Amino acid sequence: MRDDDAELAERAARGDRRALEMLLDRHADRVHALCRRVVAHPDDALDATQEALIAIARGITRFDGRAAFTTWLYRVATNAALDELRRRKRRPDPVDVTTVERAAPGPPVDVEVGDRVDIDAALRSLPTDFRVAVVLRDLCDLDYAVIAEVLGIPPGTVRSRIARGRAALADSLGNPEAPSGRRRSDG
Amino acid sequence: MADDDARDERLAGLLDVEPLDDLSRRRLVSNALSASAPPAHRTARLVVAAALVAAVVAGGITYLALRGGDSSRPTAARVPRPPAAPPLNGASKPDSPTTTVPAEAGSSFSAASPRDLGDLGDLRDQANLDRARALTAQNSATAATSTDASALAGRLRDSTCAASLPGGTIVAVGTAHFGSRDAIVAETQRPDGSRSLDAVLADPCEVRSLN
Repeated sequence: MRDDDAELAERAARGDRRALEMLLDRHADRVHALCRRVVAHPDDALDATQEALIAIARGITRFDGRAAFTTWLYRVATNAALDELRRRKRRPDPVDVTTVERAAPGPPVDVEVGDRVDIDAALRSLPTDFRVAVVLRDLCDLDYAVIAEVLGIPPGTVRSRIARGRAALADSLGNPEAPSGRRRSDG
Repeated sequence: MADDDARDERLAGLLDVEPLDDLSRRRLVSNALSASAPPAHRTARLVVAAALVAAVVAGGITYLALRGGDSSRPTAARVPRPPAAPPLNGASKPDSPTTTVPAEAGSSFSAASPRDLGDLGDLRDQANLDRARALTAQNSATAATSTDASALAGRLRDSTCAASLPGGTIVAVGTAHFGSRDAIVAETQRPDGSRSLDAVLADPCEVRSLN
């Protein structure tokens, strides 16, 4: 995959629009997932995803191939998501339909949907730095060194942010246990 | 306690995001491609527009240069000029609106009336000849009387030997004589800018250079 990415990125940088399209199509879900969890709002996440893909398309000529393409991609996507968060702070807070729906009386949602709704609220309660670090680690499955490279911070800081972010999330989700101590099948 | 560096699978499950549907993915990718393409397209459009403007400007300049650079070509847009005296040898039609005659016809009249050099006297006299040369050398120093000049121009036109004058434009005319023979003195400006002073004698036709 990495070799394919590097080759496609090189072709895209030379002006091969088909290669660029393939590259964007291949990674759109990845970018969207990151934006979705960092922004923690479905519509804003789509906006952030769009901005990220545009930034990738426009900046592909600046990708020099020294790092893995996905490292560069996550850096661009993270910046787009953080930009979207900053934009959102400048405008009135939108009504979170999913939260309203969850709070309103009605048929009970299944456990998994309930978790997904909770995770957005829990993520929003996290400081952004912690949120980004946790998302890059536990959603994107990047190791600490890569996260450090993406965020431009020391690995020790990454470790600290992830640990504190996970703990805060566990509290927000109403689980006194550390998140790492829970089994996935619990949900 | 799990390894802190390991991925938290429970959290990973909670954070998991549904893949984009095909339509949304295509739209996002298509928008990104379009948004990244316009700068190149805009540049191309600007280049084309600039080239068109340059072509129009260059065409206009060329048109104006051609229109203004060749006074022998009448154009529909040109303001009609007052009729000038016909050429000396009558080769052109009398009512021709042009102010020059074909090169093979010898001298031609300029659009403005030639200067009147007056009566230069008997040109066999060196003093008169020198005076004639001096007058022409002074160029416009002599006051022109266009009525006299026009009359002389008419006489030159009627002269059968006027075609023997050097090619160019007659810029000054005067009267003179050689003994009992009347003459018309003509100063001609050649196309190269040089000037020639000549006397046209009649009966028999003769052109004498006074240079």
